[in-house]
Amino acid sequence: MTTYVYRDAAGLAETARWALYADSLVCAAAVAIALVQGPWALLYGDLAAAFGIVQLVTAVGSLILFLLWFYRANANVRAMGADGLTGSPGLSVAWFFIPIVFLFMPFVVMRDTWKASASPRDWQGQPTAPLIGFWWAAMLATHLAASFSFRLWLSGDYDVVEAVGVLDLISHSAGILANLLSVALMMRIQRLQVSPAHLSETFR
Amino acid sequence: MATSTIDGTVEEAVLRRRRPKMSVYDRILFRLDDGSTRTWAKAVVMNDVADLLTPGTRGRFYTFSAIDHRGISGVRTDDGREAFGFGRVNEYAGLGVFISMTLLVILQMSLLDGVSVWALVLAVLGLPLFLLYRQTRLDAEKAFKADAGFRPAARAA
Repeated sequence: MTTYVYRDAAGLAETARWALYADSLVCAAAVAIALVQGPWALLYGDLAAAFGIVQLVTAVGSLILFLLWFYRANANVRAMGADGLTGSPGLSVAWFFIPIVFLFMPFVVMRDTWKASASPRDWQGQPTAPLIGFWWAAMLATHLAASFSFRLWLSGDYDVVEAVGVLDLISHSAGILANLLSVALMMRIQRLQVSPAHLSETFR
Repeated sequence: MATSTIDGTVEEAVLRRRRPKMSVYDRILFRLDDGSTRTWAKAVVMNDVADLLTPGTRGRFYTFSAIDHRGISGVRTDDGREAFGFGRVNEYAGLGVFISMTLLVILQMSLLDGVSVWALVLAVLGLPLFLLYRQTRLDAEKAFKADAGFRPAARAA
């Protein structure tokens, strides 16, 4: 049986928080450009390539930092004494990338991490926070809209540009919401987690 | 994926539904000897084991979790009764998906030009699903057998 060591994730959470804010800002700029100049601006405008690179960097960067924090948070609840959790911290992150399974497992592992942070020894009896459902709905909307948009864009037809623009607008708007909900979720879990050295008997 | 044991007393067992071979509980609440509680939510239990999960039953309870699927695979009570059971539906489902989708992909490759992405993804997912549930079952069996002959201490008078 693997033994997990509690490591404070406050610094990681803070870094991920600013990365998510940066990505939200870029998404907001994308929404503003699309609304002012039309959906074509982000696809074929003068700044399309440069803006695309900035978007890619902030999106991937914030996702990596968020998942690094989540790995640590999931390992910490195990160190705090939670048992019966699904898989390992590594698998909890891997679920985000496995086809089909990514539609529901990230919600499950995030829900369980929240519950186990609130009460490590009896986490299954904890209620599910509605914030997790809203977070996952926003994440799914963001990624599904982006995925459909990308597939349409790959088709190369000129008459789908408007649909691609609308889907991008939905993806960016939902992305801002998803990022802000990710920050809220991360900060709430951070506040709930306590080093095992400081866990009182009543908390257990 | 994960097996563990709980030593304590069943305080509450809220049954959601009972089928011919297995029962699903909304929650099973255990009171541990130190006074703390442990809840096992949405627990799947084979009926041989479920029959012993009545409030007041004291003993060692063998738990498992695999993906979002949790349950009690065995119990040894302080009065000497014991039962073990582990459903294999998900294990067979994973194997079935893997075999059928692999055959479909092979047929598509040999008879048609293209391959269905969905069939390919399901074939790739079916195998780990089968292996994961199989391993969890083997771990649960091993944990229960390792304790053979164990008799939980009776409740203090």
